[in-house]
Amino acid sequence: MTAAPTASGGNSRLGTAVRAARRLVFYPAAALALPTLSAGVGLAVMLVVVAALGFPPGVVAPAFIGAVMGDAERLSATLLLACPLMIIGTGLALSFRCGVWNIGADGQYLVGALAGAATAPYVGGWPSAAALGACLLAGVAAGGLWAAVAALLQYSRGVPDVLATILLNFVAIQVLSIVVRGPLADPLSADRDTTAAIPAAAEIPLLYGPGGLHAGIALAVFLAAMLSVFLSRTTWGLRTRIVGLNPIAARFARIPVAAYACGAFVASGAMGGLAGAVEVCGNTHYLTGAYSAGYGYTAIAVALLAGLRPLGVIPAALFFAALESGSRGMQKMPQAGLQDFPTVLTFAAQGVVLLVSVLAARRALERREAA
Amino acid sequence: MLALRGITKRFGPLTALDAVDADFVPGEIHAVLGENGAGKTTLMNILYGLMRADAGRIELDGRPLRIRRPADARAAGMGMVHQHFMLVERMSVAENLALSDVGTGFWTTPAAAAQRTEQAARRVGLEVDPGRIVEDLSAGQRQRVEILKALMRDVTTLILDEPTAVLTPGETAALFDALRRQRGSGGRIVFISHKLAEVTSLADRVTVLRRGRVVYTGPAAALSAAELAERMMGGRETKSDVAVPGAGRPQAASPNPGAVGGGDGAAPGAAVLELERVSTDVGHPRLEHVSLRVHRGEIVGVAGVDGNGQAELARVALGLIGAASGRIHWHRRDKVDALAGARPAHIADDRQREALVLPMTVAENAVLKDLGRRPFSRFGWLNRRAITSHADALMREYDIRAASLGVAVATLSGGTQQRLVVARELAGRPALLVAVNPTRGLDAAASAFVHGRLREHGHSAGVLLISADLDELLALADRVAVLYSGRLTPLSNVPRPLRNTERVERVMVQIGRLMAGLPPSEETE
Repeated sequence: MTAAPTASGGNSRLGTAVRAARRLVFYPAAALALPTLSAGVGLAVMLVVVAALGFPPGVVAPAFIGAVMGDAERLSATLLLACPLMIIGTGLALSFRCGVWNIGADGQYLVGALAGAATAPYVGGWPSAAALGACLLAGVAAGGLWAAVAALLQYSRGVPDVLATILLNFVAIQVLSIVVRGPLADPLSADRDTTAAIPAAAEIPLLYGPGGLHAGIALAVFLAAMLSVFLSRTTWGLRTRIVGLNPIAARFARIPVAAYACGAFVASGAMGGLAGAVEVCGNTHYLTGAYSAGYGYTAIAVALLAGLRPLGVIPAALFFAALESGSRGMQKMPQAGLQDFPTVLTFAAQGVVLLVSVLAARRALERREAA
Repeated sequence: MLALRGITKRFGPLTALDAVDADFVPGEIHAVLGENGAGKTTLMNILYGLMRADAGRIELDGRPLRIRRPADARAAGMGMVHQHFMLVERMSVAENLALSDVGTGFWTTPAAAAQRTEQAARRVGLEVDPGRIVEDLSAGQRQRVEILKALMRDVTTLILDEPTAVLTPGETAALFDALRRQRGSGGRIVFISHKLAEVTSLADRVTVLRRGRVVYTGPAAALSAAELAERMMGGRETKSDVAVPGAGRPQAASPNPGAVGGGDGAAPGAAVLELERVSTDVGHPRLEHVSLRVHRGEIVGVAGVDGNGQAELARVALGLIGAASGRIHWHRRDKVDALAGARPAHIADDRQREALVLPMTVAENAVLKDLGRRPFSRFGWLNRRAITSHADALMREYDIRAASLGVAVATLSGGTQQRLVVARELAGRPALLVAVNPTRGLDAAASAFVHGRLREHGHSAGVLLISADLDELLALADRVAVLYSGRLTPLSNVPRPLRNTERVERVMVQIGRLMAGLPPSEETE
């Protein structure tokens, strides 16, 4: 080995310290640069559009921030939106890192919510922890199975993952609607399009009562952290990344590629299902026939903005949740002239953020390959 | 006359083309022959404007020709038929031709397109059905459409890149008839190939490329297929980047010098790999009844042109594909140490695809295949310290020049990447090493390093060296067989020392004939 390029490569304590410091400072900074840029450009475009529509940015910006986190209730609402995005986004980061393009998180989320709501009436008499655990596990199992269908289609019949998962989304929407109007329908509801409320034993404990903020957000952060540890510290995690980056080399290294891909597929589906059950048990407490809020799709944007880094999913989910809750809350803000504020701008901003992050990631990738 | 003068192209430290001259004469079929990676496609891409040369010029009838993009090449009367067809699958033959036909105006009718197609087909003498959908056509028919597409414009130079790679023998014969007709009408035909039989049967003139240099150019009839094979694979000219053959290798390894066939008697140690009449049902071509034994302390060479079962044989030897019939056996009793034996080591020619994960770090790549083993992991948890210190030791021992263990492998040069692969694969001193064109794409220094390590490893372990480079095989291997069209010839001992040119010549001629798919000469020792 040559001495010159490895000033930090020796065994000296100084070298170790320098490396540790670099990892702490440099690496997260580089990792944060792209997402921050994307988010910034997205927000800037949103402001320009808003200004063009005749809303002065000087009024809009503070109102927006107020709508996102002006008081504890608003902050709770934002965090409630972030919770499913974070859980689903973590699962998607796992599957995308393994090279599996699971676009069906929305369907997996719906069947998870359905399973949670369907389980709840049977476990109402159980101790709270057991009842909640049963509902969440039902959601995990349902989401995992739903993704397993797509995995099976891909690995036994060659149906591309993107196609199989996205088509299963539509099936899930119909299944949910049929079950909610049929077997699970609340007989007391006028339009028979909602289920009865789940028993109290199956509810997730609240962190902040007035805002309805439940402990699911803590679970979401915990899961993202767990995935980060999994990917960086375990053999399975490293192999998952190898399979995602170069499946051919993985085969030559005797890694069972299909098994890892299927595992990531099912695990990401299970996360989607968990998010659905958490939403039912923590937030809404009942199901409606049209339950999809598009979290499964927004979570794709979350995972991509996070650069597929599990810890990046946390701020990315918060960012998209803030966009959404800010736009929703704008019309209710006290500042003058915001009654007609167009909520749909959120989608435009989401799109811009996504485009910029994808483009920037591509540029970074190309530069890396060119080097 | 279309002439290339001093065409040079470098990719980083690698010289892909080194002052290449070639003359393409009207009314002649000119074959450009060479191994994969010899620079054929690069040369044609430069001629057709898909790439730019670093130096050199192109002349047409004595006047300089500036070709900066394919449109310039087309304006100069060139047409190219790519190896991979560029057709719209869902459209009919006539529609595909109309797409590229300058004669098609803005308004056209299916009938008009069909008529133009038929006219062109008749003129050129290629039979196509204008109404057929391309999707439904065989490879040979598609290629006819491609050629027609090129010839519909007034093409004076037709370039075909490995045109027979996807064709059946019958389709190949039909293609050759069409090309001969085209030659009769005064066109230049440039034909890229690595198949010797085709070149000898079709070409008037041949240019042989080897490692980016022209090693022969002249009438095709002047050389036999075997002589062409020798030129293509090297061996005639002494090359500086191959270390002195046989150096440091005990002559006792060949107690039966000069023997042809069999080879078991020459076993220097216990067998580490045995293939007995192995046939596969996957791959193209499939292996047919391949028998082979690799012993400890020897390097067994498999010569041959890529695409004759080389990749399949490597995968079989590595245990990645099973035998449809026959028997594969790895002997692992005598493990050298904890890492050895469990898996055969593999040095790939396409290291970026098969051996490395480019965006991952040097350290991660260094333990890619040993993640599940202690000390690199325990109960599924990675031991980063052990991984780092192992990678660090490899970097020192194999002189891998990376800025740190934490940089992505993608940032390393090709030679450094291959050093890393060699280091990783040989670190556990595996009983069996499978090396496939281990120096392809490497510069002289990196090649010498790889050869040195292979030779050293061959002292104690068994090495299966599958290579298209005859110099490499003669310099390293104790015994050589030829893999042609999925069949392996019996092994011959490589005469030592290599300076005995007469005996070397004889072996070379034989190997050359076998690689060209000809029977070995009657005269054997």
